[in-house]
Parts: sequence; structure tokens; C-alpha cells
Amino acid sequence: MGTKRAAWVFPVLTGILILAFFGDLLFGSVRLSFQDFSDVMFGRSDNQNAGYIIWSLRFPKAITAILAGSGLALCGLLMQTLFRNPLAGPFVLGVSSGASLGVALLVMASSWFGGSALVSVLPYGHWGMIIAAMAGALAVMLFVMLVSSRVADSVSILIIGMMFGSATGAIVSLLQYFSDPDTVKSFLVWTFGDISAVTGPHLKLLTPLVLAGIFFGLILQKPLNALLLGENHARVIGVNVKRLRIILILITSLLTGAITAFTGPIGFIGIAVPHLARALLRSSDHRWVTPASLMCGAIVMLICDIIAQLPAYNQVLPINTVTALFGAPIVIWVILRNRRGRTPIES
Amino acid sequence: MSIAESNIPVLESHQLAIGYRYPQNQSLVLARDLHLTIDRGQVIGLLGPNGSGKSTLLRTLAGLQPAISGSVSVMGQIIRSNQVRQTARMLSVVLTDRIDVNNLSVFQLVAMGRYPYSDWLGRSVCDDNNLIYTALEQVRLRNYASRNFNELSDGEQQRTLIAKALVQDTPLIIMDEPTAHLDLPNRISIMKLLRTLADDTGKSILFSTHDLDMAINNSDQLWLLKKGGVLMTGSPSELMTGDAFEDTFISGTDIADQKNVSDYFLGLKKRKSGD
Repeated sequence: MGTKRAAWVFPVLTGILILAFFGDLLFGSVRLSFQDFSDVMFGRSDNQNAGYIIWSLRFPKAITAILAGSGLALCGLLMQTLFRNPLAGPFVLGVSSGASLGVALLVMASSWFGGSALVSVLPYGHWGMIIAAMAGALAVMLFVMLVSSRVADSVSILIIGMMFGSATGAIVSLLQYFSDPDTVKSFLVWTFGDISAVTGPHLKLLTPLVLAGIFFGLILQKPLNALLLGENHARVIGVNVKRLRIILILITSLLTGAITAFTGPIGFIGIAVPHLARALLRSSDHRWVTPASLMCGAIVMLICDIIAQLPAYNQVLPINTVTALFGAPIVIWVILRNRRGRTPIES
Repeated sequence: MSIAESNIPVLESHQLAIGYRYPQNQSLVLARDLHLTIDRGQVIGLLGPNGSGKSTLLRTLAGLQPAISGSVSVMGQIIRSNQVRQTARMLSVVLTDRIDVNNLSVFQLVAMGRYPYSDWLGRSVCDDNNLIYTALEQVRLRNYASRNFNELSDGEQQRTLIAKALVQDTPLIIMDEPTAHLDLPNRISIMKLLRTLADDTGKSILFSTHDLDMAINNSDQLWLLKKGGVLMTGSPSELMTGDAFEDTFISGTDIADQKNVSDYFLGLKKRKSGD
């Protein structure tokens, strides 16, 4: 099933992806004429500024949008299949809360004891945030792995992950409560998500991480399809459910942790895009839905970034607000239009 | 298959104890010292009251949960609950868990039975399509291949799952209440199907049921599991001559029901001897 629709869905998605990518390079807070843009693209421009803006600012940002969008969409898909729950997403395991806690601790602790232990160890600044976020995400991930090797059923893992997310969120709130407004603001800015802060050196680390996650997500199609039947049905046809569960949690935590560390928590994409992909293909078959989710995630993220730059032409909206504000209605529309009463996955 | 191999029982359990383990070394043992054998081509019905441990026994034999002690072997190979893939090549299981996936065709679902034989990309080493269509033919769903699984009737869904077990190509098929939730014609048709499959393919089939009549009519052997872990085995006619059924089902019921249950078996035996 879905094969017939795949024949036109994938060419169309490829087309939109290419358009969105170049759109993201063309539009931004500095207005470039189409002439300048095409000159830079074909390498016959002597406009230094336009070249700098496109290659040094917008190109890494567009690449980040693709990596973050497709990575988060993949995580959402994996979690929805693992927990057989349409509301699952990359953040259900509490990994991004862990990342938030790491950043909150760094930002706020450094304001309390300026120049003391923590700050002297970690460089404050973008890399400092990234390291703190990764450490937080890693801590939660190890905790979830430990739990999942002891707990027999996925639902318990889901609940424990969400509880851990809530608890971590509460600690972050407490930290905010006892911090001065400036510090709180610099933390809040991080939670808005920012893909423009990811530059060349960051990409050298982020790209291989995301590509590795995507590679493993793609080769797991067959056991993922079996998992759609339910854990018991999957087991009796020879799927090692326990091992698969640990692999899926590992991939998701790594991807979510890495992406969140670099861009801040970006909501919505992970939960919504897999639904969009299934609705487009009218299929739950991971052979089609996985690549479609990757492409849709990248497209939605690129378009959200274009929208974030447009409104005032010199003000950039936080990407996190745009993904939800503009993305949610689109997904609701697509799902309502394509569906006769039932979701592709129902619990 | 050589003669030596064909003498190996399809399934054999040795000093098997079934039940559940809890933390702090506590455990609930439902039955112990089970020495069970299934021969090639046999259809075996597992009967017993609710809570006697039928499902636990099936799950343990299928390697879905670890035994408290003892071992289970299929075709001479010991089943281990952590070797899922190897187990899936030795026995297939038809479960009652509902499958709720949209846009999954009958063909796709049956094809999942080939999972234990496919490589990491999902490609298979032999001609799967042929096997799948043969299995669909055997359960009389050849024309349903492209239908959506969710749109089938309960009986047709059960047949599809049986076809999935068939393409798994194992000497033993284990079914947990294959006729539950089915109406009379479907119950008859599934039981006849199991009988035919065992006779035609030489596969052995072990199923649990509450449908005494059907089990008696279509099984080569019955396993009666009583609350408290006593398991009686024998051919239906052997067991009908004694008090095995009454003994199995009456224990644990209250006085009023005991009378009703024994009246039921009296009637059942009268009807069977009149056949």
C-alpha cells in the first residue's frame, strides 16, 4: 500500500525541498535581489556582501534547518511506532528537558557564582551552552536506558520519561524563580530555539551525528513495520523487541540531544511531521513513511525559517513559535482532508 | 527428513515448571513437573478453567516467557526466551492481541511471517510470494490479498493470522484461543481448517480453547489443565470415559455450580456416546 501514492509524493516532495532550500537562501533579514542571488549561486558575482550573507550565514542556517527538521521528524516517527501512540514525539523521553536543565544550570549558576567552579570549567558562550545541553541530555538518556533495561513494557518507559521531563522542568522553573531577570531572559532566548546560531564548526559535529541517526533509522524499517502490529506480534515473528527498543531510545536520545543542544528545543516538528507523512502516503509502511518524514521535516523547517525572517525584514521571529503557529494549522488541514475518521496509528 | 529425525517429537518439555517470578526471589508456580510431547501432525487442544494457567503454559512453550525451571525443546532444539529469531523459525504463534494498523493489506501482514528469514534490509532468500499465495490459498483467502486487514471480519482476520503462521514455515503452530470472539460458523470453519492443515501439511498444532465440543471433535489429544497445576493428557475418547473433565472443571467452583457443571458433562457424554 502507499506504493501508488509514493510515485508522485516523492517527486513532489523533492521539488518542494529544493525550492524551500533555495528560498531559505534567498529570503532573510537582508534583502537580496534575485539578480544578486543568482549571480552568487553561479559564482559570477563580485558582490562580497551578498556572497558572505549567502555562504557564511544563510547556507549553514539552511543546512541546520534540514538536519534539525529531518532529525526531529525521524525521532517523532520512531517514538510513535515504539510507543504505538500518536502523541509521542522526540521529547517524550525527557531528553530535551535534560538539555534544558543543563543550559539552565550553566546560565543561572554562572550568574550566581560569577567566575566560580562551573564557569571556569565550561566556556560560557555558544559552545558552553552546547556542552551543557549535551551533558544534560546524556544524563537523562543514560537514566532512561537504565530504566528501559529493567522495565518490561514500553508504556512504563513512556510514563517514566514524561515524569522525568516534568521533574526536570520543575527544577528549571525553580532555578528561574531564584534568578535575576537578565539571566532568566538569556535562558528563555535559548528555549525559543535558534538555528542561525549554528555555524560551520558546529555543523562539523552536528552533521555526522544526525546522518548517523538517520542511517540507523532507515535500516530499521523492517522491525519497525513488525512493531506496528504490537510488541507481542512482533516478538513471535522473531523481532528482538527489547533490543530494538533500546536501539530506538538510543537513536532518539542522541538525535534529540544533539539537535536540541545546538538549536534549542524545537517543538511541534517531531510530533506533527510523521502524521503529515502518513497522511500524504495513506500508509504506515516505514519503507515509505521514514523517507517521507525526513523530507517533510526538512521542508517544514525550511519554510518555518523563511516565515520567521519575513515579517519585519529586520526582526527575526523565534523559530519555535513559528513551527507551532504556522505548522499546526497546515497539518490539521492535511490530516482532516486526507482522513476518513481514523488516524494511521491508533492506540 | 530422515527417519531418525522424524522420530524426534515436534515438541518435548522436560521437568517444566511454569509461572511468574517476582523480585526478592519470590515466584508463583502455576504447574510443575510437566513432561509434555507433541508428535508430528498432531492437533492438540488445551482445556481448563479460567486462571488455570493455559495462556502461561502456551507462552512458556512458545518461549515468550521464561520457565521457572525445566526446558522445552522443539525438533530437539531447546527454546530460549532470549533467542527470539531462532525460536521464530521453530514455532509460530497466533495471538489474540488486536492488530490496529491502518492501510495494512492482508498480503503485507502475511508477508510479515517471513521476517525470521529475511536479512537486515528485509530481503528474503527464497521465493516468498509463492509461499504467501499458497498460504492464502490454504486458508481460503486467495482473493483477499489486497484487501485492508482492518476491514476484514473477525473470522477472516483470524484466517489471515493463521496464514502468517503458515508462511513462517515452522513444524509447530501454537494458538491462544483461536476461536474466541467468533460466531458458530466461523468457529467450525477455523477448527476444520486446523484439522485440515495438520493432516495436509504434517504440521503440529497446539491450541487453547473453552470450546469443549469442538476440541473433542477435532483434536488427536487433549491436555486438561486443572487449577493447582495438575495436567492430564489423553485422547478425547479416553478422557471421556473417566471423570477427567469433571475433575478439571469442577475444582474451585462453588457448590451450586459444581452440580451444574457435572450435569453438563453428563449430557455431553450422553450425546457423544450416541454419535
